[in-house]
Amino acid sequence: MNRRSFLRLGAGAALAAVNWRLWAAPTGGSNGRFLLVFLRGAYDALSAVVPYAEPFYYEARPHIALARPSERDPDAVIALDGRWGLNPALQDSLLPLYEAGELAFVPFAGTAFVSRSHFQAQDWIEFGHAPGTQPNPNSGFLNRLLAQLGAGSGRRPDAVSFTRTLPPVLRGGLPVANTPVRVANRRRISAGYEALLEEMYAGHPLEPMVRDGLSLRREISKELAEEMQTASRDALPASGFALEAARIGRLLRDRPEYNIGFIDIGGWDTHAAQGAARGALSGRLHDLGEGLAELAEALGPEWKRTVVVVMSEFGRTFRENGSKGTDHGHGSTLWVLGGSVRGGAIRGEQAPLGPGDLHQNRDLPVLNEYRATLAGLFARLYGLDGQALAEVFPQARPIDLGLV
Amino acid sequence: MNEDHFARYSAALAEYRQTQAALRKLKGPRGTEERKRLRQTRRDLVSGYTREILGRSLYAAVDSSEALTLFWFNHFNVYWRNELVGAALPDYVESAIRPHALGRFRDLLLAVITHPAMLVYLDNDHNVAGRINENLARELLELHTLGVTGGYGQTDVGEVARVLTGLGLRPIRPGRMPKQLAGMVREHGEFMFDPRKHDFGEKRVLGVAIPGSGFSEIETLIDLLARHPSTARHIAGKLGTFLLGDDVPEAVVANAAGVFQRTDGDIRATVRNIVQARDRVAGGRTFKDPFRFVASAVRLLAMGEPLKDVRPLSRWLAALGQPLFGRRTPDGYSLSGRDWLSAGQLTQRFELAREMVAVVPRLLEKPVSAAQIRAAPATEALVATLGPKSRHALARATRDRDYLALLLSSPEFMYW
Repeated sequence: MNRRSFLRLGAGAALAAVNWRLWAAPTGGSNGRFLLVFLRGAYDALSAVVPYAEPFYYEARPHIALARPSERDPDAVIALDGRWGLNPALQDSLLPLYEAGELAFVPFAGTAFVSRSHFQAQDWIEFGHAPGTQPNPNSGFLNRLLAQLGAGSGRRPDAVSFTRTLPPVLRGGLPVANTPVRVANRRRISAGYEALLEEMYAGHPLEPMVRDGLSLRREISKELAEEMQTASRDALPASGFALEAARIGRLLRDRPEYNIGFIDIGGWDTHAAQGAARGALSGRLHDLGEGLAELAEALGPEWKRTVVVVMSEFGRTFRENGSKGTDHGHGSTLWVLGGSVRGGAIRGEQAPLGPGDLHQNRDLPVLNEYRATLAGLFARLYGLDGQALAEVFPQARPIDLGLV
Repeated sequence: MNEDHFARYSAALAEYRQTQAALRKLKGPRGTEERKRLRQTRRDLVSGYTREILGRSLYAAVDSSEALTLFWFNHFNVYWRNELVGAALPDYVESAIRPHALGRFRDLLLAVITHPAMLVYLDNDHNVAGRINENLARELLELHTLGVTGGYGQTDVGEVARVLTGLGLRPIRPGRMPKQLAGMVREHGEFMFDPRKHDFGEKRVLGVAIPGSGFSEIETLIDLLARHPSTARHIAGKLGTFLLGDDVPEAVVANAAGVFQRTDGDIRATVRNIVQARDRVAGGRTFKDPFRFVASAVRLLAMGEPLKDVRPLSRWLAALGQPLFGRRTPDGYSLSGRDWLSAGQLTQRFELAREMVAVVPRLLEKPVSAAQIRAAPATEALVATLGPKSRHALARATRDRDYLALLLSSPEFMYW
């Protein structure tokens, strides 16, 4: 079965809008690059991209709703279209990307299973197996994607995780190196000593991991050294995610063989006093937005072939709870950004959001299943065929939302 | 831990709350300054306590009360930066966890979910009749007792949340308590069960009706959860991994779960049962988590002596991703060695091994040299267990310090 007929069968009506000319020449080709930004703890999507046209949103969230668009109110959302508005905390960082057509949002996004456990839902998302099947805890979907990118090509693509531990999404058959980017002064290790370390691990199952780790360590050290030198000229972000994102951007810019990257950010579990346009959650969103803008900037020419997806394990309850926060829900909103993203729009299926429209009378329903959505994105970005996509997301039916 | 310590830690929380309430009214730069100072006292309390615990647990056996106290803290994890939680943390460990670490699970569970640290951390102080916050309810089922596949649903979460309404902190200003409710109040330190906030309707949890009656509903709930077979499996599985490592045979877990159930949640008996199975557990060794790695390295370098300063240990644990009392999310750190194994973890250990070799000897009352550590019987015994490649690399080290750092970086030293 060729790629075209597979997708036609798999995605049904959603494919009607596919532009086949674009399809024939995928934006990134096998050179596309993908960075997953995982917000652990379930961010409140409805406070980031706000359904301001829904009266029920204001009824359900008397204390934490963000105000309808208004020229005079600095705390009002900025209209993205007739239904959705952007949290003003993201105005400086993300609105320019949206207006430049490099950022799209996919609301009603999430998983085909329902788990309101952070830890179970994160695992399931990262393993990316078909709902109802027993997930293999040693196989994450980005590791399987990496395997598909390597298939049949001479060049060895690589993945990197900017985390202290290797996340489930990158576990699997191919070794993937990880390193936190928030490191201070790294100690020097002489080449002679490194050689002794490698010798100890020669032939050991950990050997590839040690080799990759030491090589990535050298890269990061070099990156930090350059940062020190240029810090006086470039205005480098002072701290927080923006600093990490700038480092990641420069590292990816200088190491084009990294086709896949991962970083996670915690602290989104806002059960109490999450605030509205000002407050704890908007503060975190502000930092996230600043970081993404830094990343785009630092990637330079590489921004053109990079796609960044921001997602969480699930959404939060449509109604606020008894303590001006929100509890664990279901549907969420994906952010998709990059130099070749067809953005400036809200993409994917949508549904009404009245009192009778919620999933289990409490959550945003899921209409854009994440495996299908990402599979469709990977098809475009990497030119993967149906067979390859089925390895990455078994039994998924790729949907092309026209994101790139 | 002596009585003075207890008193000091429980007073710390009360004091913190009083000061915090007083400062709320203090406006202007002086208020900002004083609040900053208060946060600093909380930080100092936690870091002082962390040092105390690190010093005590460095040489503790894995099945000791000391080690099990940390196991249970991790099982019932709270995060100190969450406002009051820091001020409550030492008291949480010393009064809610340590006395029950080898005791009865039910008592431990009740002590934990009525402690201000847990109630604030998981927002139950906001969980009030008619204004439900289900954070603690969900984690109580998922993490603390049944486990995520333990057989409960969203309805159970909601019903448990209703049972837990009213568990919170004593109000700073008491307010009026209706006479007919006054007898139902439960108080202990800063903890209070406030009947004014409790939902007195009937609840149904896991098919069992719990009639509205006040605090005794919570005891009924705790009994129900502590005696549930899913809880026995969940706890036995976690203890098995903690005590024996990855891939504990199913039969060992099932056996331990049986002991847990038959003894009505006797932790000491369950631990003993698992430890006795140690010899029957064949197979692969387990990658050390950062705590095991740092502790074993420091023990080797300190040659069995206590340290006069454990601050560097805190830093090393943080660098490896497992700072003591530093886990933000309620699931606690992973007990599985496999979850810690990564390229970044290994290279970070290589770096830290060199630093440890340089620093640990200086933390002893009587400093020792690298040459002395190298010649110590424990070191020689360890080297004798290494494979030929590691021994060959060690033989090529030109300095004693490099020799020791390579030993701590060897593949053999990464596993237990």
